[in-house]
Amino acid sequence: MERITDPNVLRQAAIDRHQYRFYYSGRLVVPCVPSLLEEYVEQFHQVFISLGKKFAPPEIEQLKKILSNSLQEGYAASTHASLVLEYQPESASGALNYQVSTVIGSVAGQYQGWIQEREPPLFRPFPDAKAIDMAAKLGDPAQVSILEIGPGMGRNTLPLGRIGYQVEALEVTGEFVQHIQQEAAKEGLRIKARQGDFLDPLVRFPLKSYDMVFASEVIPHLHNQDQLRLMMAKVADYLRPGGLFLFNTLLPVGDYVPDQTVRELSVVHCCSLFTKSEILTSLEALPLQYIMAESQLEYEQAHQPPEAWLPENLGWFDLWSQGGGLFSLPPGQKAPIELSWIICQRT
Amino acid sequence: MKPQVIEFKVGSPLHHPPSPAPAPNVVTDSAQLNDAIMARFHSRIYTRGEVVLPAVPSLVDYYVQGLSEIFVAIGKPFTAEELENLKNILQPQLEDGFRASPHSNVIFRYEPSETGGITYNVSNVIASMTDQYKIWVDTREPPLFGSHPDTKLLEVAKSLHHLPQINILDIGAGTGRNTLPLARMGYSVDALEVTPVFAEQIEAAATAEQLPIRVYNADILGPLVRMAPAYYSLAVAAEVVSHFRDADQLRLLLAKMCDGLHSGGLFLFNTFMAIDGYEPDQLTREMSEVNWSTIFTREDIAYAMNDLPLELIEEMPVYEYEKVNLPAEAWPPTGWFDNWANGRDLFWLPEQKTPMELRWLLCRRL
Repeated sequence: MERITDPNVLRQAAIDRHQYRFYYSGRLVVPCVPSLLEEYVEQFHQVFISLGKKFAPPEIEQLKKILSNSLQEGYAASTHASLVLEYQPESASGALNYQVSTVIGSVAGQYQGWIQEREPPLFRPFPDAKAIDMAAKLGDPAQVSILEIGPGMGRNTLPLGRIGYQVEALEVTGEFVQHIQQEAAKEGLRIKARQGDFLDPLVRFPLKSYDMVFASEVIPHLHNQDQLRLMMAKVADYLRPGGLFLFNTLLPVGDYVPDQTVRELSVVHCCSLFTKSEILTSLEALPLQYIMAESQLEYEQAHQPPEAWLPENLGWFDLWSQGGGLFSLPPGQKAPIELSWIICQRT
Repeated sequence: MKPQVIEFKVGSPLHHPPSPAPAPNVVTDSAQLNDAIMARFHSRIYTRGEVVLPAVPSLVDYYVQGLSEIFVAIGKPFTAEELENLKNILQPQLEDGFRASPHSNVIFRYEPSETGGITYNVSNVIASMTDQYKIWVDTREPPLFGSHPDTKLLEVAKSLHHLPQINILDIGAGTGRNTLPLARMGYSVDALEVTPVFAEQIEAAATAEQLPIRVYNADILGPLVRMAPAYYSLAVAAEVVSHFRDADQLRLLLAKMCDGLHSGGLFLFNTFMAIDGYEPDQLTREMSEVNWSTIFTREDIAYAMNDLPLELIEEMPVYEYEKVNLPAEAWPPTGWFDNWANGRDLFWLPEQKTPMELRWLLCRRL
């Protein structure tokens, strides 16, 4: 056997041996997207390799199995679920030990995070021109009753209340509800805000009582087509015959049908995609009829005051409304989705 | 010859000094002394035991009284203060157990203490409905719930024959008494059943006969358990609401039915109802839950249905209706059905009528 004396080789050999004394621990957090199983396994493994802990094929299989279950469980439970992988060295042997868990969040939790971390205003300051214009067609504001789902901080609720409409607003985030209640009380508006999730079976409103139901930037939070249909069925319960349901959604353009991965990612990024035909299916056999769809950005640019379109007044909406919350495309390329106003009518 | 009488004289004649007057605190009464012997002796009798009490909070005073009689019987009577202390220990255990499940028990265990008294401890054992039914499966002869489907259900299903496609949801399907016959008639049936062994039985039967049945092992009241929206033409919950805890749970069930039924769809369920004018008190309500017979008043039902897109269109007693319509050989459905459906699992009135009965309620989704 050869005896080594080359100082450079020996130096490296000593350093290699020394690796066993390196102890790493850490956590990797990723959103629960079951379609990304292969990508996540590969990325996690790359991290372990960089720590000098390459996995053998059976270990990779094992990791994949654990991740697969957790991703599916988390995704089924919430649109805001994260998978957490924590790793630390096994004492003495230096091998890597890891545990996988899921953290289930919610839409309300997401906005509470915004309240704590972001500088106000959290939402753009101007109301949607479409909401004001549609309401105006319903008759004397004193006689018109509107149900608003997901009002946020009351960007539309308060202006509608100031016009004189009676507005009932349902919002998942408690702080936002309080804000609307305070502002409405200060100005003596006919606004009733309450906390709740529209899809909660126990959240109900009086039947056939509203002239308009309005949901701006709510459909993009839905989990799946069942939730969309449930929303339609409940809206149909509360609208008076002839009443209107105005909502917006990121509508795939032309023949574009998102694949499973893009769908799951859209859900996780609050950009849930429903095709026109899926929207029509969700209305099937309900007393709610599809009337029309149009580009929200075109309508609002034409009808909102110009200052509403200053970058400082658009905030995150500028990127999100063009699909930038879902796709990172180079400048000059457009995503195949269009934020659209959709109107349905209670038969 | 005259017999000689010999007198033996041993010492001096017996001297009887006058007995000293008994001191006032010396006991000579034999009955009293026997009691005293036993009172002392009780410290030598070691008694240990266990009392299993259904967790019914309203019965706390009754239970304390019963236990105090046991303590007297074993010669370790409790003072008023000790009984009060026992009540304070028992009450939260009864409440915790009952809150968790009406099938819970509180276990009272006692054993001799070092000082000749007793020491005791109180704990509770939570048992779920699923645990209870598991015992049925292990100890009873099937069919556990009867062999025939409910005739009211078949009649309601027939009333929907104008519809092109009829999807039925069977909530609390049990062993498939309704699910399997409906599927054999050609309806597609989704069966929801919380007890795993029952769900497996339906699944096995459905597979064997290739029936259009999907089985879900789930609790309809579970927050993540949702139905396909506006999908079902008919939903049924037979002998399910009698397991509910309160009117809020009934409201949740009805609200979920509103989500799952399409417009015009029907929901058939049965529930125990207090007869008009009878208002069950807290004890009766708790005991009705413990006895698998949860009682609701008309006000409870109205509260549960308030503002929901659901109208009550028909209502009738289950016992009378099924007795008339089931084939003679299918009556009674089970050995327990008569007493249970007539409220006698709660009120033991063998010769009279109880102020409650199991009723069919049929609702239409607006």
